[in-house]
Amino acid sequence: MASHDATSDPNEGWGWGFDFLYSQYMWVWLALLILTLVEVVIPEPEIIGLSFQFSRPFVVISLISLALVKTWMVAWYYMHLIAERPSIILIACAPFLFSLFLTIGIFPWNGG
Amino acid sequence: MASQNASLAADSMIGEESLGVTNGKLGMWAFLVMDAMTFAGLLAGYARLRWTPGSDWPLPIEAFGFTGIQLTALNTFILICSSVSMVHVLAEQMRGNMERAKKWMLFTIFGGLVFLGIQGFEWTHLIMDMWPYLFDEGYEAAYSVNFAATFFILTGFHGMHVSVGVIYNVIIYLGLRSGKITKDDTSVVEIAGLYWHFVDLVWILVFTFVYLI
Repeated sequence: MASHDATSDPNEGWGWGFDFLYSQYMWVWLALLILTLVEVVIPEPEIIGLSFQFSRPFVVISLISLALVKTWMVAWYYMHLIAERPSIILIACAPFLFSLFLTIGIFPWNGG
Repeated sequence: MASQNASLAADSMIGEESLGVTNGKLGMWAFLVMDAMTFAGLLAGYARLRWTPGSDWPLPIEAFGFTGIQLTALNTFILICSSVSMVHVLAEQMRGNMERAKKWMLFTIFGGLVFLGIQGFEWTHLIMDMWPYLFDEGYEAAYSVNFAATFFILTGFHGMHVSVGVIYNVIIYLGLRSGKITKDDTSVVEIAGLYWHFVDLVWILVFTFVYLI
């Protein structure tokens, strides 16, 4: 990503904390839109004229991975975790750990 | 680190600090963590109900159809655009360009309203046409009623968050318009942005799990 081309302008002078705001967030926006399009195509490849179906495990794993990547992008760039203290990043990670344990814990592994 | 010093300099204009961030921001993060865990509970319950053997769960793609998924994909697109326009608000405010910040704020609010409008349209269609058995015993359920129940709980709980976010954003807009929020009050807008981006973030997960998988 051409993220820091606009940030080197000495007239801006906002310091490092928010420099990414000047260009990077539009790249993130573009990436989010493209990943959303990919997400829509994966379960229904006919939308773009493909005549095959992806296997079910591939669909599930790739969709969850894409969702996590998009989630990370929003949190990292839009919610400014990129410029945040490690303590805030740790706080932000807590619900993910929680949901991981919860989902694995109550998932009907042995047939409910 | 230089990055932390800069964000601290902007933050120190309002509120006391603890853990190196303003209390306002820490409070919002604490709320968001709580909120995220609520969503995690709903999603985990959804996973259990759906993948219990014999749950008679339809593939969402087949249940909602092409148009249903594409309409929601458009809604996702609108929410992401609304999220990036919120980033614009903060960026313009930090540049001191309050007129532009106000315009972007209006755009953000508009995006949230369009999202809610499309969701309202979708709900109306689902309740009236697709799942009539929810309110009328004369109809027989086509598949697991849990499919509709978890759908309404997850999208409804998220839609409530969008509604609150729109109200929150309107308040920020009024503050910007009346001049109560100046170019120095970046923390106020940043904290409002945290909430709005979180709503976007949760929708990415809900959209994936409820509509696509």
